Amino acid sequence: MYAPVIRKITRSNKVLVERALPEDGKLLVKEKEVIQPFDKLGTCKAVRSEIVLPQDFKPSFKGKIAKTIEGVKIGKSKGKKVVAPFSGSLFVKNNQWVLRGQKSEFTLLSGVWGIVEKILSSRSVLIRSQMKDVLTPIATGGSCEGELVVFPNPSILLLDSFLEKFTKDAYGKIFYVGYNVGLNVLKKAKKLGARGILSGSVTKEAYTYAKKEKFSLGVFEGFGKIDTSSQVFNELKAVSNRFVFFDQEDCRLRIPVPKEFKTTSGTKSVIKVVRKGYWVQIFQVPHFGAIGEVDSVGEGSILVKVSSGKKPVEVSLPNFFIVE
Amino acid sequence: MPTLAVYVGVSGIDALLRFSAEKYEVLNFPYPYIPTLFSNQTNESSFYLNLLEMFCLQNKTTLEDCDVIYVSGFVSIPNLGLKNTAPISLNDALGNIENHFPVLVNNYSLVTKSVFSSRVGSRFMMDEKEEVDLHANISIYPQINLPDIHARINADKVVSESSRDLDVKWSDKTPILFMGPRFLDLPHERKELDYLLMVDLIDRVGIYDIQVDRYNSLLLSSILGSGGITANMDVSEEYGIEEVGTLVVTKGNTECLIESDIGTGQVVEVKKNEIFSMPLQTGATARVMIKGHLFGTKEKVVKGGSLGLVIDARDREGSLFSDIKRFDKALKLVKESISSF
Repeated sequence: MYAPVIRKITRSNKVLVERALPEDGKLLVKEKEVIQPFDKLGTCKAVRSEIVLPQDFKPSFKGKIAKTIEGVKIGKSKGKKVVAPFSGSLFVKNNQWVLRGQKSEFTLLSGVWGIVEKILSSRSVLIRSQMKDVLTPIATGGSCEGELVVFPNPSILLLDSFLEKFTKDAYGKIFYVGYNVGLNVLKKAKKLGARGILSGSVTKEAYTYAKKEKFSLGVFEGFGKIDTSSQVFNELKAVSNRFVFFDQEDCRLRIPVPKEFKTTSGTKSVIKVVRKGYWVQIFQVPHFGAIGEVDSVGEGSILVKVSSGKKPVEVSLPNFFIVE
Repeated sequence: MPTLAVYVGVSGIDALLRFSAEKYEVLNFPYPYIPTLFSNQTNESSFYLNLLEMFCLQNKTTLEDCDVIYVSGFVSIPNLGLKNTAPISLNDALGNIENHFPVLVNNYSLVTKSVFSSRVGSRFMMDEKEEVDLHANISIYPQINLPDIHARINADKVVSESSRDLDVKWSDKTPILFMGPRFLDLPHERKELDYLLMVDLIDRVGIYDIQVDRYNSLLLSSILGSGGITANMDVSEEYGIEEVGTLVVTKGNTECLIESDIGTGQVVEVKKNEIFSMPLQTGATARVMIKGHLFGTKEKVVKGGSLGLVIDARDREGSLFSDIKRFDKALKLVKESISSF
């Protein structure tokens, strides 16, 4: 019996990463320079924050443009007063009020270990680096990068309070929010300015929302309520607070690592003969998404040990993949 | 030199390795290339080449040894990147099947000569949250074989209802041959649901001889034929075509005299919107005389099969899957008919 192999975590050497300043500025590195994640690549003056205000927002002044000061009332929405969270300017863009922060000094950090391969322009550099890639079969909203914050798989009840804890500091971060993400958490994360959300599984309504709003969402397992595999969670846990890259187009979360991986000769086969002792991921109820060890291989099905001490469960072809 | 025919579908890949008219092997691999899962390891052509190379090696040959590799696919034909490949459109392959009326059915789509329907299953599964998730997961893991009866029925409903817009020209001049991943010979499949889908899909008045190709062997042989290789195979028992039986579609009150080949007879009256089913073994025949309002009067010797003889007098205003009571009744009838063998 043949079955394909899913490799949830892969390693890549010689990954080219483009890092760019938001505005033209000054680059501080040269070609062939060896760099580390906290090395400064360049500086510029840039806007750090921008908020699109709700459709029903009514400004407390006349005209279509105004300066704002942090903490001062700027208008009303849904009958409640709206206070500027930062100093900047208020203006109308595409028939909606937008609050844009003042330009301030911006420093671009490398975020990766590697070598500056090429200076692309006055604001961007190409870095050759090495990454661990974690597969996200569901990915929406475009690619992004940011500091990874890993929640310890909280229950849905606790998830809100976890996000609240990060309210003041969520802007620009990528959050792993646990086994499952629903609509409310996604809405909240977007409101808080989070750059992206990662999760084991997603509800269909949350996925539809993320797709519509072009919000970066990466899901490691599938739709419904599927636990993140321990292989993936352990990897994330080990790199919490590190700078990561979410590559939506290629469906992967890229985690920079310090050293190049040793290359092994030959390529690993993507299709294998199923054998006893292999690990498989099951796509059959009631164990949908679970990972277990093959106990025996029959003609059109296999027996899989899902939990220790319990009888193996029968899983028919093609409702499983080999996992490595 | 051996010749290889390959069909790459939405939820798997089938291949036929032909050494001679007598010697050939069939592969049914129920997994397709899924970019979101495998692109971190390989690309589409390497995935298929990896599989085909394993299949060839298992049969003591190699891809390089193959004279020509004929490749067909739905929705598109993948490029295997080998010099000795020749693309064959699925339409040509189906059109080349002369002695049957081929109908290829996937999880949510149906393809026959010149026409096809296709829908995104999850958009139509809005009744239960778990089922919405299951069908949404099929968009990531398209190989999933729908395990529970409710999910299977809902997917069949999508296929049946979308086919109604196609106005398929069902012909009773040649046997209707069902094939494709929906009917693949997998363990734990509920055959009664297969038969009900077949019955529901054929919606034109007529007397139909129904067969099912659970290994897609005739499609693969036709891909070879479209490439100019006369397959001329004696389809062995292992990869053979299953005789399902005879379906009579009358769309109204029907009277029928059924005479078995051992001389026994019975008169059956099937009221409008009812379905009648009786066991008639594979290899057995019966003479039927049928009278119906739209049907007129017809007499024919019909074949038996794993389902037997079915007379369907529904007006066909809606699908069988949209009327739970009628569906349950039909399911019970079909189960009884199958279990009597």
